Amino acid sequence: MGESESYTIPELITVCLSRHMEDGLLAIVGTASYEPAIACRLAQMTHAPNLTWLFGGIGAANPKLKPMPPSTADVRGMRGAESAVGIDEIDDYELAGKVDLFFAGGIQIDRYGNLNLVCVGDYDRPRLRGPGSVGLPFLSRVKKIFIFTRAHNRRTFVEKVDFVSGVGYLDGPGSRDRLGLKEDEGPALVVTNLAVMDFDPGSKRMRLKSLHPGVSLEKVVENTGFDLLQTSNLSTTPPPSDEELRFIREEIDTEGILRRIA
Amino acid sequence: MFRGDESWRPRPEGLAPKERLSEESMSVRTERKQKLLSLEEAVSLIPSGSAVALGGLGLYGAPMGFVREMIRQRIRDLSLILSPGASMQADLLIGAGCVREVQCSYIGFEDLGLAPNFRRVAESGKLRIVDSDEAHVVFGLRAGAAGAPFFPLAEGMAGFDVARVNPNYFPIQDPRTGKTHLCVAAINPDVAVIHVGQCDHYGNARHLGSRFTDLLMAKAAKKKRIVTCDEMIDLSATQKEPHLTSVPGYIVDAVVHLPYGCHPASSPGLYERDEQHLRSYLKRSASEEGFRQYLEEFVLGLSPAQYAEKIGQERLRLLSQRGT
Repeated sequence: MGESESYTIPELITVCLSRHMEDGLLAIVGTASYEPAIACRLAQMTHAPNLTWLFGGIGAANPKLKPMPPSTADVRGMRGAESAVGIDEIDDYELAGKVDLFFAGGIQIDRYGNLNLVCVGDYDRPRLRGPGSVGLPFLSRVKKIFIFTRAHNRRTFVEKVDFVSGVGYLDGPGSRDRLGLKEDEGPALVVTNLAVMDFDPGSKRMRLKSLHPGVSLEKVVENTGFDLLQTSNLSTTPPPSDEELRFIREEIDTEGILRRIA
Repeated sequence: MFRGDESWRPRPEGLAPKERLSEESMSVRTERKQKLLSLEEAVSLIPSGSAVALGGLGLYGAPMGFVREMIRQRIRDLSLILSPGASMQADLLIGAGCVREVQCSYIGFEDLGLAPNFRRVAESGKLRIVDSDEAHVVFGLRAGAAGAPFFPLAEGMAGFDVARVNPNYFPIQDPRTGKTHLCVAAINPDVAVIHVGQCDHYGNARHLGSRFTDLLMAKAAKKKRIVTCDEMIDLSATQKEPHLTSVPGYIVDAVVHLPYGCHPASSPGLYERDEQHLRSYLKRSASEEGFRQYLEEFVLGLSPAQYAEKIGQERLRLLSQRGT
């Protein structure tokens, strides 16, 4: 891996998301989501030719990206797509529970994978007013959630979110069941600039899965505001392969957004 | 059925079939009213205190030119209804003191950052924020468009705090099954303002990209539906390809010809967002004083033509080249 030094963190996040996508799913990508969009296209090229993914804002299905436009609401995201419907129609699929996989982030993320995009501190007088919940209320209607963020720090990873924009496992085991939601659906993966995490099926708590190359366990612990569960076989995240990087740079993100935002 | 679309009126006698649908032939016996207004006239249709829906999604299809004229006319106490994602269209009005209440699903600049004026005013507690989300906006507007009082959401919409803090979310029991369902109340703005790439003089509008929630907003509006457009097209062009009409003229009250009416946002299919201008706006709006200066420079006392001149024809041409 002579090239291993030459990838960026957003590129690494992208390949981590891509590798965890199964073939045949219906996935949806929302606001401010470069890595998930490019990851969907990458997954189609590497191992998931039957993945269908929707570019949320403009409602395009399976666009080619090449290049990746600056927003999911940008009409250039329709290039090479197979269909393009209104956002209201996209929301029908979300509300009706037809979406398998949803990518989401937050200004706060807690140990049970609950997400907050609204406020830090008291709701009525916030220390930080976030942009708002957008599509996150639909999370309870989605089978699987992949969480991603470039900001793995104690401000983002908190014990408990100050506002639940989108549900994860709420207060832990049994919480989803009490609301009539399936216990085994919800957050499945967390990919950050430092590590990859999943959720322990029993306790529903976030669990460290692999450390990105060059990142120490101490660094992750220091930057997480709650106790992360740890597995005995903690591994190192495999860096992007030459093929993955070539697909990303030459076939998808030809204008280099993932290199620019690093 | 096609109220306002006069081409469906009984055909005038004695005209050749091919002429019957043309604008000119109609004027032989009747004169159809055009809906074209000046920007000033159209904005003056909105009284202070109105509930105004602004179309577009984020920085795409945002009616920025219209918003700047709203600020110039000092419209106040607005209740803003926004699409699932809003950006500078909301931030500018909030910063300029035009807004009393905002229904917020998302107000931000996506990859470029948070919305500076929205943040400042929200954190100071001076703005009434009704926290909203995509489900409330879309299904609330859909109920509003259909004249229904509310929309019952699917089972399993549960556990999120917007439903707790937003009074437009409420539970209702299905009398047939006894099950309780979360509902969103209908959203019916007084006025809807949307921007499209092309429109004819009778309000038949064409989105050159996605129509986002624009059509829903126009259908749900109770009093006025206003369309701004970059390009005017002839009715005959509409008639050649009526399937391209994304908002029908019979629900539109006023049309404003406003070239580059989305700048510094993007008009889908015509020009891309002006990232350089947006970054400068965000930087300057980090302080209230900086934002005041921005308003002085780009909004107050500037006609749309003077605004375009200030941005520069060369720059606008470049945005057009890259936007398609």
